[in-house]
Amino acid sequence: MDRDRYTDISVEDLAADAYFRDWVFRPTETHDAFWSAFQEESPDKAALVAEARDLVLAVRQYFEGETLDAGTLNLQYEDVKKRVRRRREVLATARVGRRRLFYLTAAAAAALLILYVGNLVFGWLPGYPTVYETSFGERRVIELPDASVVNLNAGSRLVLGKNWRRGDREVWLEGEAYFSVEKKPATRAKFTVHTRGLDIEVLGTQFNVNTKRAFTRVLLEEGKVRLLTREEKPEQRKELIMVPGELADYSPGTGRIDRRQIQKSEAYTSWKNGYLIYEKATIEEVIDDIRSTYGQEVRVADSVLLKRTIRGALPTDDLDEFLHMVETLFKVKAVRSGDHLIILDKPDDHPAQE
Amino acid sequence: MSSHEKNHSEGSPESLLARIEAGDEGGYRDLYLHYYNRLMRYGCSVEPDRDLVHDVIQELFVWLLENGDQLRKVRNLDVYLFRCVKRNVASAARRERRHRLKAQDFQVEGEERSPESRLIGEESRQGRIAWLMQQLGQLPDHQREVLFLRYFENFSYEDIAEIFSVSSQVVRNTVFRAMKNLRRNTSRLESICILGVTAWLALLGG
Repeated sequence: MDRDRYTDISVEDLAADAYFRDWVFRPTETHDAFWSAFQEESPDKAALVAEARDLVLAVRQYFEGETLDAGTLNLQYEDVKKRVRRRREVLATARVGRRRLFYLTAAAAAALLILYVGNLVFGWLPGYPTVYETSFGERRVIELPDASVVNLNAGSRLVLGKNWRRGDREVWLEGEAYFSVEKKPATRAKFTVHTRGLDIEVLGTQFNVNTKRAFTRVLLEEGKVRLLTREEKPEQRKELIMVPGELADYSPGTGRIDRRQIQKSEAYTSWKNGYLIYEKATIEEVIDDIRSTYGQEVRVADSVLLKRTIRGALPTDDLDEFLHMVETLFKVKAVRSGDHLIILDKPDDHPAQE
Repeated sequence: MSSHEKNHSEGSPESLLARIEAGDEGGYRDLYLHYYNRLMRYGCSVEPDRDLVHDVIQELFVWLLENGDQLRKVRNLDVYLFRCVKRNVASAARRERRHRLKAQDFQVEGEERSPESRLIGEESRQGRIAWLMQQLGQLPDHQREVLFLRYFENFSYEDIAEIFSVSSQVVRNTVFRAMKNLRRNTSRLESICILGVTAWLALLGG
């Protein structure tokens, strides 16, 4: 080996040199002679060799890892073939030849591309917001793209603004939802919930919004939100900042916001755990909840019943169980009549006549 | 170009390619045997999740089997396969991360060096290598990856550039920067080493 080749070599190049590496991994006498002589030329060269050698060995040991033997790999390869077979079966059952599939895909892609470009240039489509909906008796937990979490109550609808990706975190809500909003301290990007006539601006917080009644009810559990009403006339618009544990009712009709501090927020947010908590609730309030949670219309036969109150926890995802408990707690009887339910009095002295 | 350090059991990449081009399905099996460990090692240097990398390699071979003519236009099999694994591992890891909770955000980036390990590092060559390995663990991911390709796989700068889709000058710079990072932490040790070697030489000479 020509020693001149290594006259001005750097550690980086030496460590990658085939002849050098050969010596490091499989030293022979010829190798040894050559590299010993090289090292004796000067302390610098000795240090160079030492560094390159340590580097090569360290990299080797660092990345070596587990080496699988041919037997294991042969078995693994059977898995590869199994995957191929499975995929062929899937394709066969789809009864679409690969060529045809290819053309179909290509055509679809072309159509999409044309639509996309056309939309960019001419604005054909009005934008495509993401919509989350729950039917009655259904609840959903949604993770938004920014890692905020929304519990969506039954019979509700949450629409994401279409500029979400650009950082405008805007949602539109009909119904009821509990928000756990992820803070964005770096950009201080706002999160806004729009409801009928009211905007709720958020900076990292947990709160409940309910628009199921005639008014919009906001309950703040943690953090800070700002309410902005959207009345037509600017001078009628209101703005207020809520503090934790506060409840605010906004009535779109009057534009009023009533606020009060509450002791226990659980009664307002327990729906997300699958039950409703009642504390001296009248039958009217309970019927309101049956309507909004299960989409079931209910009438009360006798106005005497309206005075009764109950306490308890009733399920949000099981109407039969819910009604059963209403019957027991209010001492009434629920009777089906067409698509309505009618609540009748059930005197105490005739218990359980089915 | 790959070095000849590894014991390539089932013939050279060229002969494997030739067999596959001749329509020999068994060629893929040997290709798998030949490359699995190397690709696994490389994949793990990009993403430590072994199961994920294994899956990527299997899917790569499924894809190759299904698209028989892919390898026909391949000039450098090593570079081609490494490139595929790099790309697929990266996208699989992205997908995976989207599904996982962000648990790894709370993980500590690399371990703090303890005074003990430093001491050991100064004691012996094996200790120094162990210490270097620890330093490797603290490099930025892409620097570590480049060092793997250069000094484990012994790829040329040009091959690494192709795998990364950058110019070879960029790779060269990255290697130098990575080495600088390793050295910045070893400069003290190095001087001790040089001292030791000089002393040893002096002894030999005397």
